[in-house]
Amino acid sequence: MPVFKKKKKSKKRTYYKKSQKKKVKVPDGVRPYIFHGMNLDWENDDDPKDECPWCGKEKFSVNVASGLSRCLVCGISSDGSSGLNPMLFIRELHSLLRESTTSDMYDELAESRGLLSGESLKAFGLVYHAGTWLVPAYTSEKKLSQLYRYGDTCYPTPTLSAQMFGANTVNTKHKVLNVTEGVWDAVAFYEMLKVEGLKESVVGLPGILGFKDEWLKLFSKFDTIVVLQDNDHPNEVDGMERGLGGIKGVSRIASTVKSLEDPPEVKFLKWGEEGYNKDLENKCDVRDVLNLKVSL
Amino acid sequence: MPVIKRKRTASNIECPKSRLDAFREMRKLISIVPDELVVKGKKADVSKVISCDSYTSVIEAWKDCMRWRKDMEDALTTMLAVAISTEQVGDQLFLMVIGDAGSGKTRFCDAFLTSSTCHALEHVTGFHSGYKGGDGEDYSLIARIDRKLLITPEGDTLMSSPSFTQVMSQQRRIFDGTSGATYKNSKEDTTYTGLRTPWIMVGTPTLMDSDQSRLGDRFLRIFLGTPSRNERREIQKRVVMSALASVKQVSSKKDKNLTENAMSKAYGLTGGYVEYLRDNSQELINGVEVDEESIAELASNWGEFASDFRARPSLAEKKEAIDTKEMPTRLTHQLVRMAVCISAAKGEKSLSEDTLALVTKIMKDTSAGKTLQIAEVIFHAGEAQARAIANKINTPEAEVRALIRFMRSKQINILRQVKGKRGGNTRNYALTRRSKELMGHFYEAE
Repeated sequence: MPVFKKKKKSKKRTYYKKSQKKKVKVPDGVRPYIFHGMNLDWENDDDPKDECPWCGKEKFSVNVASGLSRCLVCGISSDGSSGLNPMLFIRELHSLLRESTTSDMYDELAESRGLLSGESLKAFGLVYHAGTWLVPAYTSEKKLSQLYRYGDTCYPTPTLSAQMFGANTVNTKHKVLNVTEGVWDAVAFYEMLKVEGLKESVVGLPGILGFKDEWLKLFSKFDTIVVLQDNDHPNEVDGMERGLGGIKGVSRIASTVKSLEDPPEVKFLKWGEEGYNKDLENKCDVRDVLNLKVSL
Repeated sequence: MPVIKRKRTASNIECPKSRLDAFREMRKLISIVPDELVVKGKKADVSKVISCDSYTSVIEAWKDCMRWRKDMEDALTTMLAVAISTEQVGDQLFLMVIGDAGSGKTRFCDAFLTSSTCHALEHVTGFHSGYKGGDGEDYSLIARIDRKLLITPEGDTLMSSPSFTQVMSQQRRIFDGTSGATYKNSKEDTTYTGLRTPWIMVGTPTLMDSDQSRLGDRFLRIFLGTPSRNERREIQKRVVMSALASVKQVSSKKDKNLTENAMSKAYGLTGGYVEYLRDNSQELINGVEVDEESIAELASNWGEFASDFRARPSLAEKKEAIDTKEMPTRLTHQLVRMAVCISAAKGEKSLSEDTLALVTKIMKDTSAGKTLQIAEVIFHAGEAQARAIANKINTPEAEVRALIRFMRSKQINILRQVKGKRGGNTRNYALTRRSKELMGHFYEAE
């Protein structure tokens, strides 16, 4: 007779599942911490505690109302007693995980993503945590302000705003800034710039249509912006014109950049005469070209 | 000897030739964006902000374009302190900057508003709206202003609005971080919690006529003093130079502001510094060392002083309510926060004497009014008659007597009656021992 082993439920996902079943809104104060794997009993405690990622003691406390956190044992907080807010928490967490992510892990991920080397992933600041990869995103001032969790797509830390991938690698002395959709295209392009010895920088946007005016602070420092959008075809849904996300993104970025007082030149990847190429696969991107999945 | 030039290797990454060829082919596809893809008329606000992480740079930029006074530096520093306090836990900082027309306070507001972390609050009729869009989105102002510094450049206009009382009653709840509204045509009540909306209101001394003290006034105040005659002449010379410089320039069609280069730089640096303070608020504030024992006594005196002299008698002729004053706890909390935030905004590592002096000034300005003027006259004179006080502060004697009655009441306990030196029926007024001791901390006897 076969022996059926009872599957052990993962402790860390309990509160997600409970909340999802009951459709209870998780307070904003604890959502970033739960997102990064903390097990917090916010329903019964105003200052729930869980294991501290730094010292391992079960004294890492999060205030549900304010979202401030601290460890009552090791006292991890930003040089003071008031505690970490979610942004500082992800910065401290990222610093901690940098030490524990090995070169072998980077190489393995690079191979799975069709990249040349794990060094580029390390340069972009990716870190490994609890069975998943975390992708940092930075502001125009190169401050880490968002930490995405890589699954089938990149999920942002709740309550924190979207930022740019790879902005920490940007050199403002360069004349050209390349802009890709997403982190993987940015890393792949970054590698090729290094191979060719080109003095250009690259950043990835979390969605070509989500360009934010505050990123112009960085963009305005370059002479040329090159948008490397995906080859999005048009399509029709219920009689309405859809698709062409890539070209729409180019239009949005170009229009915003051109409104600056002394705007840089804006270029784009002209897949075809209308900005896209129907002969190439829909939504193919920079990495597909470099991995020879599409032939230009 | 021949010079051997070493070729710098591009990288240590091994790359197949096919990949390199594909990369080069892809680069050939890069073209300039055609004009039809560029939407004209789209405005970008960020170009006005200049990245800045130095308090000194901001002050120097303002000195370049305006005749600078200590009062103006104090007001600007206080406004920066309110900006840095936006997301910190605790009572919020609401600030009124009061100065005569033409004193430059509106310029400061415009400079702050170059930053996207600030929101201009003008012509407001209320913070809540029961209207929801077709997609269910909340159209209330309060939903849009959370985590932003509110700036009202013309507080006098807001004061003259018919909905002023309603707005001020809503702001008292917003100060506490919570606000709610009930609509008769909606099943659900709307409640907002965890709000962080510090507010800077700027205006002329008319703002002081708004008596909010009995309702628990949340605003601290700072005055831009009136310059001396010589100073005014210097300011006018500066204005003449500025007018001559600007009339020779053509205004940009893109930017509708009529500001010259030095002023634009001051605006940009101020906006940039506000953003720097917001991005680094926690590190900067936590970097300020505070000696809790030494500040406790001073802060308690601040709170008590402001609570005493901000109290006002009820305006109603026949009133049932007894004279009261607010508890000093909220004021103490706000003034301590202000001290730490001012230090952080200036980039200091501890509470300097200048910072404590500035907070003392804010405390005095917050308490300013007829009651404080009366107390100051009596403090310097030792004791005085009502008529003499009225002459000194240029106020009708009847009004002074009413205020003295208020200040003598048991709950307020600032003044006491003493027998006049001449004897007979003359009545003099002196400070109570408590008030005299309190004032002695902040005034020097003449």
